[in-house]
Amino acid sequence: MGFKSYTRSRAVHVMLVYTGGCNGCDIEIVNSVLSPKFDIEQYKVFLTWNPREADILVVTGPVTYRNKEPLIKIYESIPNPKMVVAAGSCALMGGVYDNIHGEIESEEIAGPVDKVIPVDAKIPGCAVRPEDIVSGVVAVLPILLGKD
Amino acid sequence: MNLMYIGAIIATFIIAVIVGLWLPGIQRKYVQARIQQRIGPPVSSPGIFATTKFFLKESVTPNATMPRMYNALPLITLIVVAVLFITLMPYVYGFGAFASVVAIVGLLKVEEVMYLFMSSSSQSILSKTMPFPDHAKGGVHLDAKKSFLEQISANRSLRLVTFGSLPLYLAMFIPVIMAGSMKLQNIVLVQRATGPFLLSVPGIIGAIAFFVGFLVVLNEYPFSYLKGKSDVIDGPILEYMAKSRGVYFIAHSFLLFVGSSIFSTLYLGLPPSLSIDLLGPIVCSIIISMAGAAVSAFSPLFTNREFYPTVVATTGVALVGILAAFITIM
Amino acid sequence: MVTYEDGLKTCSPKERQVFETEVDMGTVHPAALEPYRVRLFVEDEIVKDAEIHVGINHRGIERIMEGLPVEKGNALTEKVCGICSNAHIWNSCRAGEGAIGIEVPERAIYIRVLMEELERLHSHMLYLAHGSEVLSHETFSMRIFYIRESVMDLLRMMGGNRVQYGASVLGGIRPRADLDAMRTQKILETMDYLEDKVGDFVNRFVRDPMVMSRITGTGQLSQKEALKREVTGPTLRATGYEFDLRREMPEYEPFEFDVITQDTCDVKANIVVRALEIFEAIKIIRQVLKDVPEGPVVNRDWEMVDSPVYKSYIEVPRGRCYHSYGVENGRMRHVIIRTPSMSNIGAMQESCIGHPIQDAQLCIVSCDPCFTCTDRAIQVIRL
Repeated sequence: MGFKSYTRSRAVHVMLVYTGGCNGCDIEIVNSVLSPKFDIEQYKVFLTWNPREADILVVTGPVTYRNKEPLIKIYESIPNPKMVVAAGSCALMGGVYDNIHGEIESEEIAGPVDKVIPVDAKIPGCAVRPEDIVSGVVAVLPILLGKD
Repeated sequence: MNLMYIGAIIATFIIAVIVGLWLPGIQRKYVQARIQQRIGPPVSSPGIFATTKFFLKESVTPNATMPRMYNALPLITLIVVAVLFITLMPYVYGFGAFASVVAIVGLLKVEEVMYLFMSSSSQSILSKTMPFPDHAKGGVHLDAKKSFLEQISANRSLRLVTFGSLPLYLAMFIPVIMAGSMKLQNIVLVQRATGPFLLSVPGIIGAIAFFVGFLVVLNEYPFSYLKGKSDVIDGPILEYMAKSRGVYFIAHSFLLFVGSSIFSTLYLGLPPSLSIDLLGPIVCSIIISMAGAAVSAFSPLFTNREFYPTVVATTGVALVGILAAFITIM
Repeated sequence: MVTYEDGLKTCSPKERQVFETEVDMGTVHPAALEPYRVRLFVEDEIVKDAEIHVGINHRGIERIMEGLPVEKGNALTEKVCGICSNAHIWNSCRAGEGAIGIEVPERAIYIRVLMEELERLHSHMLYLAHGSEVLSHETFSMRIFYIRESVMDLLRMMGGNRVQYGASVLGGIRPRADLDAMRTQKILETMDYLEDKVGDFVNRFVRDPMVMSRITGTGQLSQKEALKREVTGPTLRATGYEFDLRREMPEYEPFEFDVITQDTCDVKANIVVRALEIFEAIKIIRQVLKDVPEGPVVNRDWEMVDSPVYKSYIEVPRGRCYHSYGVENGRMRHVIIRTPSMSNIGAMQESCIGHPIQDAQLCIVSCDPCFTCTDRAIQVIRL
């Protein structure tokens, strides 16, 4: 492991963007950071709300049309190298809101996250458990470390 | 002889930067995480490695009115703080008025004004320019002038410059009165002869005012309404990324160390130099940063309603200290 | 999209009061968490007027539900909200049972009440934690999140999941969520723990002088304004108006509890009302566990019939929740969901006014917003 990857692995800033959905994943992610029981900071992961500071963008929820533009803008304002983690089944494949129509496309949802921005890792679950988020964000680190 | 001085200054400087970068980690791990009953991050992560990581990231042009000036501001802050640090060292006491309390006050003011420039230049995506149709049909007050979040920060930093840091400056003049001289050299010499000012009544009062005033200057948590999470998110530093953000972090943690050095010089008579005296600033910086972290863990963010009375009360405390100092020397 | 000029045309001259500046927060903001946009009209850092935009996470659940089989539609209402998911599925089943005429076993009703009160516990604790976070008091926030984990464990034990744990099905509850001796004992132990810990926390919270100075007198909303804006739930009770729909619901008839009210109408009153309701919920849960009758938990002996629109109101952690739908050929028709945060938006906008910008988000959060619930298709009916 070079110096670059080592410093990156010692301080990871995560930003959370919430794009619709039912609030469940969102609370579980904040819970995993703020609750002393899970305490994501002990794995050197910090929560930030500033896209300029972030390394990993965690996106929850199916992207509704109103949230599409802000999500793209925020993704663009994160400096390289960056990663995107989609958390929860809505972010992965649109959840019930997108799929219960069958073949008919939903009018409200601009599609799962990977239709809007490139996604590097996916954490399944409805809602995602805090343990899964911790392990998902930590599992994504090797990809981030390998980037220039 | 001069070369030796320059070497000593550089060596002290490097030690100071290294100590300063550990301070955020000490605050986060040993104070706040312990109070919050969790494990917390490793000591090195919030300070050293976060800063190094920012240096290794790619930078793009920030959304600011004058991007180059905006990116240069942390560097200017760092230079100002570095000059402030050199002022304190005994090697430059020969330069006369440069090594006096007036120079320290002036340089600290420059450091404070930097926040005003930062926040009036920054234009983050998170408020006005967020792509959202605000002027929907039926919306109210469609002709109001929109402003960025950072412009609120600019207003607030102006307030901080005008009166927020008054207790700190008043507290700095208590040792001046006790020593009877503006020059740092004389202040240090008087304390070498008669013992540190901290052990006298005006010294204790002054130390309290100094601590609160220093927290205001540092924008530490109860007084950090310049960059409070609940409204302006990060305020002036919202658009800094990569290298400029790293420089900002170094400048900020270095200011924490330099402020403690000012305290150690004025109240303990231990200026930062390449000798055993350097322990004074180091111990002071650790104690001050831990006390600051404990205060921030136990208090909510102050609004104007709490901020004004706190500043007024601390100014009162500092004035009492000045009065006590006059009585002591009489 | 409506342009700025179009907007100006629709703006009546009376509303054209020019303010010093407008500050927008959202749709991504640390104090909000949820995607909503608030426009604050500010003069010298004092908020003079506020406007909250909703509709950002409108997903059209009612439209998806229309035409689905009743059982499937009921399961879908759980996804309306991640905080009060059980309340929505309960109310939806209640509407269906009323429409079709299903008799629910008494044991099932008791367990539904138990789940609802557990949900109230975790929702109010989340409120306290989020409120502390908006106050920037990280320590209090972490402390209450830690206590909240014990309730989350109970929900996982009863419902099988930490968030989407709804227990109700048409005709009763899922057999998985039935009570047994082990679960009863675990819940009772946790209630003792909670009473102790939340009591300590609340005592510490109301004695903290700095926190009290932040929240006392902030976010004033008079009772008259609250009634004018049809505010419901704990936000209404914090203005001194004693109204709790649980008093009128047949499900809550066997249980004794107090309706908590406060007179000061500010953020402190809101917080104290919710903190004291935690103890009332613990009281109800103890009564449920003491008196729960034996018997089946689900009644499967019913036939699907067509019915006109049936309306059902229940009290959820945030206030009154309304579900209604009609049944035709075993499928849902004309679904309407009205959530309490919808009617509390007025309170959020009103209580910001006259306070500094820092308190604006605090005032909004003090009304316990849940904008994911709120984004429903609404129709304004002029009478």
